[in-house]
Amino acid sequence: MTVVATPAADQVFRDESASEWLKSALQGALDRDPVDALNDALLLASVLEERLREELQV
Amino acid sequence: MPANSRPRGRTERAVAEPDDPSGAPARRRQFNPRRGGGLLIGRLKDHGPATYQFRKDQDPSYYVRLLTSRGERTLWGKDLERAVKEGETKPKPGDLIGARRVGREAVTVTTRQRDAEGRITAQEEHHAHRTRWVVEKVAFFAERARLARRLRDEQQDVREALRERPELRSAFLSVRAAEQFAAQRIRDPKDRERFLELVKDAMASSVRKGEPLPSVSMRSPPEHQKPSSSQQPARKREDPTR
Repeated sequence: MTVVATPAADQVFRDESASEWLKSALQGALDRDPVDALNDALLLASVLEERLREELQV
Repeated sequence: MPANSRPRGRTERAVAEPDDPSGAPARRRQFNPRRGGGLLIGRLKDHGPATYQFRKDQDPSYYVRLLTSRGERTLWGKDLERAVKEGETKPKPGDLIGARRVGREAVTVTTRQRDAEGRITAQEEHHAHRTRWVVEKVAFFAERARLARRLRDEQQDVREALRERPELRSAFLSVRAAEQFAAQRIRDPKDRERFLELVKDAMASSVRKGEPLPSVSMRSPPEHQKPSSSQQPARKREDPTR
């Protein structure tokens, strides 16, 4: 059984398969208050999920 | 016997188990079925066999754990193993996946009591339902959504579509069969149109949800059944028999 662990920030920066958009967003978020950054990230995830659901017509 | 008063002790399951082997009242879904047609989207963390709810006193089941935008969710159900391992995209941990309940099938559960020597002392059968799942990478659902749109689009070149996606053949054939049926059997153009809309909606919905598509074959009527111009028209049921 393989369990996916959440990578640390420096792992994301080193990961060649990670997108530049993600690295840029992460870099910007690390400069912010952690609570505000996480709140915004969760909101962003929800908005993007809704967009995907619209695309999937579900 | 009420499900939750099932005898404990030496029992064995001879046939398929329902999703919740405890027989407890069905818990509400961990995700709102009205949102997204019950499609749970998240990153697959892990999956595997385990006793239900990871409790030692429960029966074997299968779990799929995913990280969603609203936190971690764990799905339980024996059919999840088939859905993950035999799905089209065979998702791996780390993949963004969608999981959806697509139906329920009736199963028979046989509970056997055994004595100390292992002899069966009592046996009881009862009926239950097992949820059927589709678990695929999200790209699969996106592709199915595109195919559903294509199926709905009458202007599409069917031949081209079938060349690209041969698995859609049965869906196109179903629509074609419905068109033929409507042309032959439904006189009112408005009723015919409504009927075809319903069929197309149903097929598009199945394609979009990732459900298995029906197997349909088109068949011409046998030669001897085709009316020829020289033959008398077939007698109608209401025609006099004399």
